[in-house]
Amino acid sequence: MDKIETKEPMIVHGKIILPYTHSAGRVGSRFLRELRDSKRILAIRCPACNRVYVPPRSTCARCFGQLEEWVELDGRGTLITYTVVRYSLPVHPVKAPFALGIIQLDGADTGLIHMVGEADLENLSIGTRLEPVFKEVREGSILDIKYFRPLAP
Amino acid sequence: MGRRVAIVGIGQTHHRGRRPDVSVGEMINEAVRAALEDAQLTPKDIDAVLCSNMDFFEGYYLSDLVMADYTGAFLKPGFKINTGGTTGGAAAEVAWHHIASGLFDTVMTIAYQKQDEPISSQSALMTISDPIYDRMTRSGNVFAYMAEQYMHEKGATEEHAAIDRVKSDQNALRNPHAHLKLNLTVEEVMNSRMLAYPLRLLHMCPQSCGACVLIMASEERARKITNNPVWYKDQVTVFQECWHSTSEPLGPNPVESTKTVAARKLFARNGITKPRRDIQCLEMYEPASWCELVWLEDFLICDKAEAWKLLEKGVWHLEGEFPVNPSGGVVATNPIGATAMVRVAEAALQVRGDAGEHQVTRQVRRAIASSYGGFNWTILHLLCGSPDD
Amino acid sequence: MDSDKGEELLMVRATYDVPYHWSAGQYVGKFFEELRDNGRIYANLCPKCGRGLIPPRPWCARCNVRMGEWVELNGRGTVLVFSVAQQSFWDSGRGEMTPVPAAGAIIQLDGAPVLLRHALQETDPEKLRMGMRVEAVLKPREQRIGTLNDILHFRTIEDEGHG
Ligand SMILES: [Zn+2]
Ligand SMILES: [Zn+2]
Repeated sequence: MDKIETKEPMIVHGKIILPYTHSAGRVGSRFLRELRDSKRILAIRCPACNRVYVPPRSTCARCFGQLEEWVELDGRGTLITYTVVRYSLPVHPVKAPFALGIIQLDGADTGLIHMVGEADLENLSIGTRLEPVFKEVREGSILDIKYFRPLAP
Repeated sequence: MGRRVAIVGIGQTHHRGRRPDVSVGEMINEAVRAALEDAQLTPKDIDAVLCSNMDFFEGYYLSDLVMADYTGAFLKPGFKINTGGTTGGAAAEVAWHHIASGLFDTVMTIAYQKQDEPISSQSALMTISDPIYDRMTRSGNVFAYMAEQYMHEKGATEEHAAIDRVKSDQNALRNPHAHLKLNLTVEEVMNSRMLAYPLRLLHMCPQSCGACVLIMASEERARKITNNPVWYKDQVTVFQECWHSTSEPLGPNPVESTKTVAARKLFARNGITKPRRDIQCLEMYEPASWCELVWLEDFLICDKAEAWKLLEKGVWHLEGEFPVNPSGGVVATNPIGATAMVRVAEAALQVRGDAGEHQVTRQVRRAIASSYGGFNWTILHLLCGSPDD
Repeated sequence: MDSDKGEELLMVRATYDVPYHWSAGQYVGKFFEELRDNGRIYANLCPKCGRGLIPPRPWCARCNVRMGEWVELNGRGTVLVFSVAQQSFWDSGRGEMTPVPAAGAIIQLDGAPVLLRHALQETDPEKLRMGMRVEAVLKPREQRIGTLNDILHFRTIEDEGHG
């Protein structure tokens, strides 16, 4: 062997293909069941911090309390900030262009990240009041909420 | 060696095959609460939080994202440790570094795995190996090779693996946290389904979901927290090369087992000359029953070709001269990223005298725990009842 | 805490399917190129400890010296230890279930002090033994793409004649 030199760089083309089933857990399952079965958005409240979490969780991140006080929200909220996605990737839930926003639901202290639909993407604005639109066929997923749309003025 | 460090809190989940009732973070939270309860501490008392698992089992690489939400780490320092199979042992090691260095006084360290999330553990596990060579050829089972070699060279038989498996099962039956409790007979093990000759289903560890948490502290803090600290006396980590087929213990260029390298070093600097006398029990990371026998020899606990003979005499049993895996071991319980830390936790329970039904008969002054991972990498931990031991 | 009290517990199903382009580097690249284009199997030798590496690499990790001479191997070798997998699982590298039975072995190749882990054609444990002689079977040229799988498997040498 005279020269350790390849004609062109040797690239090995491969993949990692892994299917998963992620456990929502008892608290997450109740939240997702309510979305699916009743089109209701549930949150959970920490009595020590007076913080309402959506999606709900079993432990308060701030005080480490165990949470069990469920709160029903009416689903309306306010757009805190947003972006308009103009490129498509396989991981996106829908085709571009679409708007993603952080939505502060009324009665919750945490922002919910979701899509904004039925809206003029060129003229979105922070502070817009929103309401959820649910899919017809729901399967127990955060995407059972199709998107949030501006409330009629 | 830095400051003295002790284990002051121990927590585990009740390990099992499926945990659909909890998300990953919620599962970890159970062990965190158990460890805090054991130490009688709250998150306010913890200076830093460390977290470890093996990649690809839960399907997200930023596994430390569960930390702030479920471990009390909110606004505290900490980071993720990820060293493959040894990762839970490495997480204990890094907590030791944090405290021995003088930088932190009380550290919580966490290891976990939720093996019901990937399609199969083997599918996730195959991503550990080099994608260009090893992963391509899918070439056989390392423990099957080991078993075949042990029978061929050392005179053990399939029955010895079965007797060893039954020994572990009897221990697991006494351990409230163990996953598989099968009340097995030797015949059942010997007739269980063949996975890869000569390795059978009941020789292998299961796929468990679970978490383990240790709270470790400096000497000054430890003495305020508990009357019964377990001293994390010493440990040795040994890596070896992983290039295709270079880590085999056979052939023209055999490597010395990393277990032997670790044991020799640990024993020498702690005055251990007769391991079965100077140490009172061992919690070993044995992914298969065969490993327990082969590695007892590699760890210099007995001579070569002697492990199966001492097994016949009951030396490794709970009430024996040198109990091995009183918890039931990895063949009973394997939340893989937590498995190495469970070894340390169970060894600490033995030193503390708190193992309950599976407390070994002999008095435990010193115990060792081993971590296994990567390409036969080893961590060997020494725990003592007295800091001067 | 542990019983699910008859509640319906939900799972979120997802499959991650990510393509990668792994760079083999000059040494392994050369090894793959020779295997693919010329059907040749090479190892290289450490000038200090004398061991061989396959695929070849630039450095000996044990001696921390530059690897030396490349030697062409004849593809024959001796099985040191083998196993036969009977349990299929999802191969996340290929996106398919693994075929069973599947025999694998650690093979000591002729011509250099080197081991190779690879598949055996023979999958009947009764017909496998330690010390048996085997030889590499390459895929046809048009199917070879420059991976270790360009070697299809190792087949049993029934009668190793001389000459
Ligand atoms: Zn709170
Ligand atoms: Zn060398």
